[in-house]
Amino acid sequence: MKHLTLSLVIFSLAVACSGCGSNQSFVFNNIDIGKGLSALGHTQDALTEVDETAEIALGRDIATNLLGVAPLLENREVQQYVNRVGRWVSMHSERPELPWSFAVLDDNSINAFAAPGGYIVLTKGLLLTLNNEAELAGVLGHEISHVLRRHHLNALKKASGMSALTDITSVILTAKEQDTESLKLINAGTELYTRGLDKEDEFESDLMGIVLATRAGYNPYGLPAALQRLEMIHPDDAGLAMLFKTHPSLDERLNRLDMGMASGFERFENLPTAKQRFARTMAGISSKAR
Amino acid sequence: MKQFLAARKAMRLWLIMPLFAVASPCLGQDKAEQENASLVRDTELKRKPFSDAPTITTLPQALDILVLSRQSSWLQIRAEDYTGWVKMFSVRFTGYAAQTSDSFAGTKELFNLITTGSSGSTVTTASRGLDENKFSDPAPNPDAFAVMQSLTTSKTEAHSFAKEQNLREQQQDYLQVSTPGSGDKS
Repeated sequence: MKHLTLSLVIFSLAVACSGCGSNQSFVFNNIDIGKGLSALGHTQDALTEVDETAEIALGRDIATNLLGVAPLLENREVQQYVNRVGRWVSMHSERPELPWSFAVLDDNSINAFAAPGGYIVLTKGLLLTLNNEAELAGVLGHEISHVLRRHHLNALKKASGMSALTDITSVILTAKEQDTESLKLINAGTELYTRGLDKEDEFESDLMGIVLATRAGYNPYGLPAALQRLEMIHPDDAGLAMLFKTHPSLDERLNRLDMGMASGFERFENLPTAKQRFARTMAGISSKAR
Repeated sequence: MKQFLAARKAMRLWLIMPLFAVASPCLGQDKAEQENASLVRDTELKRKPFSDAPTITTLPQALDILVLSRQSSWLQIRAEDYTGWVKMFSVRFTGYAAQTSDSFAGTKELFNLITTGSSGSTVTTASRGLDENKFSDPAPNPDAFAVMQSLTTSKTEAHSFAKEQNLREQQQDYLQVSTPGSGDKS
């Protein structure tokens, strides 16, 4: 698995890099990738396909690490519910065929994480902060958008120095080192959640998140309402520390959403929030919340 | 002793029942109710949650307000003896101030006592937070990942789930990303 992950990731990065240079070809295992792709005549398709397979493989390993951070919430109804909302929202994106799956950690802190390929993990604390399904759809829309735009993958490429082609090539050719290098990449991809993404990536995911939730038929004001809920919690609360450290301020995020939603969204004012269904489902965990 | 405690508990319940009754009309509403907040700009206070509803007055920026409930993008607020509706983006919550200056804190505390058995002084405290070391030195959990995969929902399932709540798909393009200052916001 690890072996496969690394090969795929490195291959896709190599392919991606070969596309960056102007007409430069890149030699991978004695195959001239630049030439090979031109011969295919579908350079863009080939690139996307390889990229995505690698992205999913890497995401699986990162998600497996995320699930080691806290135990899974033992409530199948809630887990299924979050998967249904998330899957419905993801179906309204440009990448509906990714293996979208969602999991809730049994932890009272407030956070959510998106791993490449469509694996999304959130905390029970976050769920219990929300008030209806439209808010959940907005939050999941935000996480889904990180995956759509490959924000983590791009940050990882930048941070792990994967652009050093000579290193990558030597790793591919030395099978012995491959596992170590592969592990490094997965671990770097996990540690990234404590550092956070580029602020602009967060703003972009907010704006895309509300659009995805709206397309799915939810009231579009779910995400800003969720952000306002976070404002109601004491900012020194330890359960919010990591989220605050890794995201732009709530004030900035609300300002951007305000600008983005300034016109055209009035027509969605009356879309439903599905509050009753949310409340019914959460009833099973809210009494044991804190 | 036990009897004494039980009697005391019963008495406490009797004492708070009338207050509970007073508070109950808003219990079914949004969690946003009766939270302290302030205005980030001069804001028109509307009689109803619609843009074309009559304006009661214009409230000044930075005014402290009390948020009573939420309806879509509108918040029902109380300020300067007025009650009405403002757009949600005009409001920033100051939850941390609620503990000291919330005039409804007493009622809330009693409500918490009934529903959670705690006086509610820690109600806003979520937890200690996730251990960041578990991200930098991860312990993979393949069993949990297998469970996660088993939860994956099919498109058909998601469709009927949406239908249950009459969620109707909408057309909306992604929004242009603009930076503050460069925008054309009126």
